[in-house]
Amino acid sequence: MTHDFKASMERVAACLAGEIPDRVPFIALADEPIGARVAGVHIQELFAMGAKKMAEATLQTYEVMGLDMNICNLVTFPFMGSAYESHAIAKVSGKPGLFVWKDYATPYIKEGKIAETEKDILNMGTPDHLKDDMWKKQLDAMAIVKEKTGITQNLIMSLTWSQVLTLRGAQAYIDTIQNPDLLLKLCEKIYASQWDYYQAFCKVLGKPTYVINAQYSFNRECLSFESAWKFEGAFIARFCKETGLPLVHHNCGYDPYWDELMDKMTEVGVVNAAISESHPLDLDYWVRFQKKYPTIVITGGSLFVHGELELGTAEDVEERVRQNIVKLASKGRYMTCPICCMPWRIPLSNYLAARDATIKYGKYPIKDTGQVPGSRIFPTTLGYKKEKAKL
Amino acid sequence: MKVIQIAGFLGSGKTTTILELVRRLSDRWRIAVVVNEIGEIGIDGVFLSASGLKVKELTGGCICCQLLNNLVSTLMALKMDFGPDAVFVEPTGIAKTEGVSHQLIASGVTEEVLTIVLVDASRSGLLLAEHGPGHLVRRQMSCCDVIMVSKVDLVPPDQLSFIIRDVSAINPSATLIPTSCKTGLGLSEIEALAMGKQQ
Repeated sequence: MTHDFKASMERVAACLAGEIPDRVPFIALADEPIGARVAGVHIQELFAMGAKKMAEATLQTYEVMGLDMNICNLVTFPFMGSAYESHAIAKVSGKPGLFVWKDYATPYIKEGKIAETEKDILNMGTPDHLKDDMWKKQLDAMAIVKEKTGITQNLIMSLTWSQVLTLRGAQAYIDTIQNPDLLLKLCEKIYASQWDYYQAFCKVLGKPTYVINAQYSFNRECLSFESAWKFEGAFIARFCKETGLPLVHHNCGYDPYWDELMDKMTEVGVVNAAISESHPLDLDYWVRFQKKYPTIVITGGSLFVHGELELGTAEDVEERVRQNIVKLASKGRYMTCPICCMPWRIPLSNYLAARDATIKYGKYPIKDTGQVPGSRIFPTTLGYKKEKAKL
Repeated sequence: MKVIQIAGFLGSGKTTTILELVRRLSDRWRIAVVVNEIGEIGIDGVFLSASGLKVKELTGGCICCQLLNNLVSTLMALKMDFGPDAVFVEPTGIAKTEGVSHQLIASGVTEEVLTIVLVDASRSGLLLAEHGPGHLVRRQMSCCDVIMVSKVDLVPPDQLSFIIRDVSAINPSATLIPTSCKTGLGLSEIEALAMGKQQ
């Protein structure tokens, strides 16, 4: 292996600690689609071949993509965690057979079938993550990656809404009004399962230094803030307080309640460590956010997978990365990262352009060299109404 | 290839609407349908072979990135394999409709997307409330071309006028059509919109 894992880890660690690294780190949620492209085999095959092959594919992806960190740990670990977690829950709850493998794409579980009825929820089991076949392979593969490279593995949780939607489906939105107690029972079951995963993680890999939570509900297009807190926020806050771990937030929604959530978490005693490759795509919003919350690390900004990464040239990607670095990286606590995963339809050359641009423009002190010749600036509003900044 | 996105919350009548529009249009158009899960569409084999309809299942994935890419790939494949005049897309009930429209046009798979969002009149109080699914439903409604207020046969006329007023306020620029698949109300208008005829 030629990748300098030690340098990458030091770079990321410095950034998270609020120090100025040698350059801006380039990180990504490098999960199944990119792993399949790099390894040349699809995900079901990787699982069939076992933990060693899963780890190898992950390390190959580090090498080829030049990542300083794979947020997902493994290319076989979907960031949401939902499919494998829901599958594990389904198996111990008498509902196997809902898992769907997809070649070269994230596997999924049929939504809303596992917790379809009240009885399903009340009878829901808690998987043993050390014994569940898929989770054991994931944990073993992470241990191999850690042993070979020294990379600290990230603890990634799905507390709770991504799991709620997978298990209960859109009915969960109705439950927030009509069956809140039942929904809370489901959330408790999810918490129990995620706690078991945390314990399995600590046993195999040691206690992590922070927790990353893939949050879904804290979006204005999803739930009210109050409902989001009741059914998701309170659970992740509980987890952070019970473990003492700082929190890295990720949100797949287009219009998150960032300032409300940061303030609420602080109020209840949770340390907000970072926001990980999330919307909105408005760079000026993140500039104001940094001023308001200077100790929170930002990864991402406006490098969206459906923007220039998919539809633009390498110059367009370079320009987007340059803008992000110039506006957000000068005082540290910033990492370049595509928002959100690394799906198909994006030329590998554009992913590599993002890496190369990070290396080119990300050395400290950051300099503004002006727009990349021949580049275009893509809109970041995705055709919908521009989000109004609340800062 | 025109894409008609039929969105709306769980139980709003999306599948029924799609089936009805397919029945009305399949003698003039070559039609494909993309759904979350084929089992849920309820189309039997006899109807499928008689109508020449093609149904494709959309894979899962992260709703903000992978699902969109999967949809584009599915539509591209349909274009090649089947050459439909129109594709009805029924995304997952929590899909971000504005992102779908934008991406389908930006990726070149189509030049025209009509987004129709259904709102069940009989549950409008629940669906438009501040808590519960209200945020989701309102967001979908605020970014569409047509709002179908469905199941109006289940609602008294005086209540319906208030529902239409509230719905219209969320997106004044959308075409608003009260409909009932049971009585046929509004379906000709929806059919005309799907075919691109001015109202």
